[in-house]
Amino acid sequence: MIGIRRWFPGHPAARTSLCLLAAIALLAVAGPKLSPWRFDDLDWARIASAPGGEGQHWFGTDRLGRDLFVRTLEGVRVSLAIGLLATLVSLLIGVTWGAIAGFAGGRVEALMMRIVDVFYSLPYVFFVILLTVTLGRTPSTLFVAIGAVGWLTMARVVRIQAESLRHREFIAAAIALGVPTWRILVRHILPNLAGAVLVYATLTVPGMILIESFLSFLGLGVQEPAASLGNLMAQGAAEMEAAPWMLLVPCSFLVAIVLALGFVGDGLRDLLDPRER
Amino acid sequence: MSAEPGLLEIRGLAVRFPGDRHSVTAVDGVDLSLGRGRRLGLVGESGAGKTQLALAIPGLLPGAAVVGGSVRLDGEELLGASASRLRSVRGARIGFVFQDPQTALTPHLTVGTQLVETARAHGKLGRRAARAAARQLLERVQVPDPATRLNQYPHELSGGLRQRVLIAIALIAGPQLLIADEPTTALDVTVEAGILALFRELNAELGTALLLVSHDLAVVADLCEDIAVMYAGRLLEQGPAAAVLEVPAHPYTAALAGASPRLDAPAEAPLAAIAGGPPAPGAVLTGCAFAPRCPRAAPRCVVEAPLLRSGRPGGGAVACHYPLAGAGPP
Amino acid sequence: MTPLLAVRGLGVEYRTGRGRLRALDGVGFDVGQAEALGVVGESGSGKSTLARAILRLVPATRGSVSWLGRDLLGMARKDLRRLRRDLTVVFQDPLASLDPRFTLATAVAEPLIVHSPELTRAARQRAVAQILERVGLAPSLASRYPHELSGGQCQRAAIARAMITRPKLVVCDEPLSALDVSVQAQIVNLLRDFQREQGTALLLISHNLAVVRRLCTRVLVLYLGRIMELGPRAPLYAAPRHPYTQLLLECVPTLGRARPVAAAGAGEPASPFAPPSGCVFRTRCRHALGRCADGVPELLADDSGHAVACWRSGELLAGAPGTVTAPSPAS
Repeated sequence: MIGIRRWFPGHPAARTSLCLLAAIALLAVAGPKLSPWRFDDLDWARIASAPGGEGQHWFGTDRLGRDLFVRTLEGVRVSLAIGLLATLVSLLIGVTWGAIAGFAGGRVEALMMRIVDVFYSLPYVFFVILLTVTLGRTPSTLFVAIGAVGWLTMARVVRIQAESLRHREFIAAAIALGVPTWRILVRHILPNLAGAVLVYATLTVPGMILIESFLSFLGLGVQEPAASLGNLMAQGAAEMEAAPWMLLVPCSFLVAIVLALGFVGDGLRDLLDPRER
Repeated sequence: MSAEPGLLEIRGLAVRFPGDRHSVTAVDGVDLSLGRGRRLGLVGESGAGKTQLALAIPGLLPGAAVVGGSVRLDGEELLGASASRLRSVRGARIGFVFQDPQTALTPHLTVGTQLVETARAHGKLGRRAARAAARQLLERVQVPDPATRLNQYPHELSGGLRQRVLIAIALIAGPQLLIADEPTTALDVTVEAGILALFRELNAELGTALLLVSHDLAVVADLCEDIAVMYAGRLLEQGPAAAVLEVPAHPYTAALAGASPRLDAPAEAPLAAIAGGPPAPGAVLTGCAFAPRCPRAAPRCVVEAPLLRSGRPGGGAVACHYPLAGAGPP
Repeated sequence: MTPLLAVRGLGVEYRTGRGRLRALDGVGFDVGQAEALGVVGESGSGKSTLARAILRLVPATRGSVSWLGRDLLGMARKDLRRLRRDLTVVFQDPLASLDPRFTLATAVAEPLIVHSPELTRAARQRAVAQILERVGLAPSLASRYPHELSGGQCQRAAIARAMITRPKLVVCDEPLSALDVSVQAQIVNLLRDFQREQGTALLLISHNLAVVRRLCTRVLVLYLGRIMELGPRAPLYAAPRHPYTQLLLECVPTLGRARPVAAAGAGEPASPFAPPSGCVFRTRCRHALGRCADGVPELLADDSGHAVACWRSGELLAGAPGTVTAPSPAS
């Protein structure tokens, strides 16, 4: 932590965000151990109590008397995990798809990107409902649902980058000097994409979390009694007038995470572009 | 060069760009004079500061630039003048021709609109009169079929025609001084010949003084009566173009002339290259800026920066402790 | 002796939004071993397209190119890749032609990695160090990135990369345009040294006639995709036979002589989208006659190998009435 000033020179927002994310992650992992409650414990005596303190319910309780501190942190863990995993999958598929399409050009590129367009044009909610109906409300449904769309934007972003790279003079030089295509892709195209990909990936994570939240909010994602920021917010929204903290607490965490990831993405972009140094 | 104050008198002009760690000095104390109706070529390689000098005169530098010294146009001090005063000077007294005609013209306005707009901004001409003046000027800069051109957009014109339009826009308010920054660099050589001839004719017909900024010695030799050679923000030599280029006094001028291939030199001879490269912008220079690359450098050159001293054989001035004796290029 | 490169009837056509663009039309010439051929032209002349077509970066629509007798344009990709060891390139923008993420050493080593995989790492590093020194780059610069260096230094690295496999021919596409005059001189000398010491042939594409004269022993003049004149350096510069070559030589700004006033009426290169019928230069030619519009003049050579594509070349040189004699810079 001491050397952190070096990490994002000239980018105080990114540094703060990184610290914030680290703090949240630490809290999500270690926090529940500090509380005597477990995420599905029901405290009948203190249903829907405000944050503050009695019975060590630091964030209050929900409609069933479950401790919100522990549940929110559980939600953060679940949402982060899903976000990261989904991003990783979308990265792998999207980068490969986009890089090949962008570099190949011509009809190959056109075909590959039309497939992306088709997927894009699917009405998402209907698609998810169909999936849920056929596969049931299991975690794998959730993954398929998010995975099916996560890679699309990544593929588009990467394709544009790869296509503009294809026209750059150093790629023409590599071709003219006899460098084989696979080597051009791996050693010239991918590293020059890394900046854009990494930035977009850090922006995808919050996107994935939001999708998951949205799905869970609708009841299609993470199911009770498991907690995710989405279904916590769904429950909270129902109680908004009587017990606002039930919505505000998970909401604040979501906002903080999404914003922080955005700033870190900005910082990473500046860091990775050698010319910006 | 004449002893009486000329049209443009520059004394001690300095342009500095403050930066994060250190400031970059683009122009380092330059004195320059341009007489009425004369043609002066400002020559230097990239990083010499010639464009910054040219932009400083009509106050076109970005706000971050720190400008010092004095720039007098017909006796009036331009540095530090109010924004509105500068705006009226630009166009009416000083015309500026930028390097790239593609980007200097507004793409979505017709040629006619841009000319008329400039004319009306500086005079009290009505729309009809301004349009007629625009057409006349296009004829004068030898744009074929001017009436049609007025209604065309910049992208419909070729590079050479666009440059002529730019020159027309610079001239339409009747300025006394025309500053042209690398006006032919982006053009083909046959087109360039026409534009240079045009500059010469306009200078003769209208009596407009010309300050031509260029990296091409031959272009300056062809068009300009006087020449000033810049390097790393400083003026190294100046004087009548023919004299300076035939018998350069400063080793850098001689080296630059030697490095340009001439058609009348033996084809098999290697070019006289100058070792090394120009100093990086922002480097702090003690002594003569050219000393690290100069074949004649002596210990004194590294320590003491030579001042521009007149008395150059053939007229003009040179800033060198050990100027060439006038025996011709090495 | 088989020429290194033999181009016959090469044509390249592009389909663009604005219509069909014939960038090259019926271009033919040879490049011999260790020879330096200059290709000169203005914008729209097709000279860059010529370089790219020969390197197969752009597909040719017509014609043939052979390399040491073998068909280059139809060659299988595998053979082509192996050939690229002997046919290399230096591009115009030194900063853009180097991968911004590669150090100079890595960039210069890449052709060796691709074409000589049998070399050990140490042997490769030695070769790289050697050639970097040869092009005048200090060893400390080997670990730097292109954006940290000047244009001249980057171009030296690009030349090192092109020369490290000891190629037979290097195609140089405007290698000097992006450089300062004093740096241009350094690079010209460097290219000339390589040509002499390694016996590398050069195909130098440039718009700068004065520079081409220093490096090349034969010059090809292109206009709107066609050859106007092709010949040995001395006669071409001293007594150009094609009106376009004459015009170019008059217009080149060069120290030591005043530009003839006639050059002022030079006009502009015609649009490659609507080339004039017959001789493409006729719209700017001061000697054009009616029949210049009728058919494309053939490229005819004399015994010395000096070829011109102009109906009137013979009569003009013989001093027929109405001729303007060309200025003669000494060669």
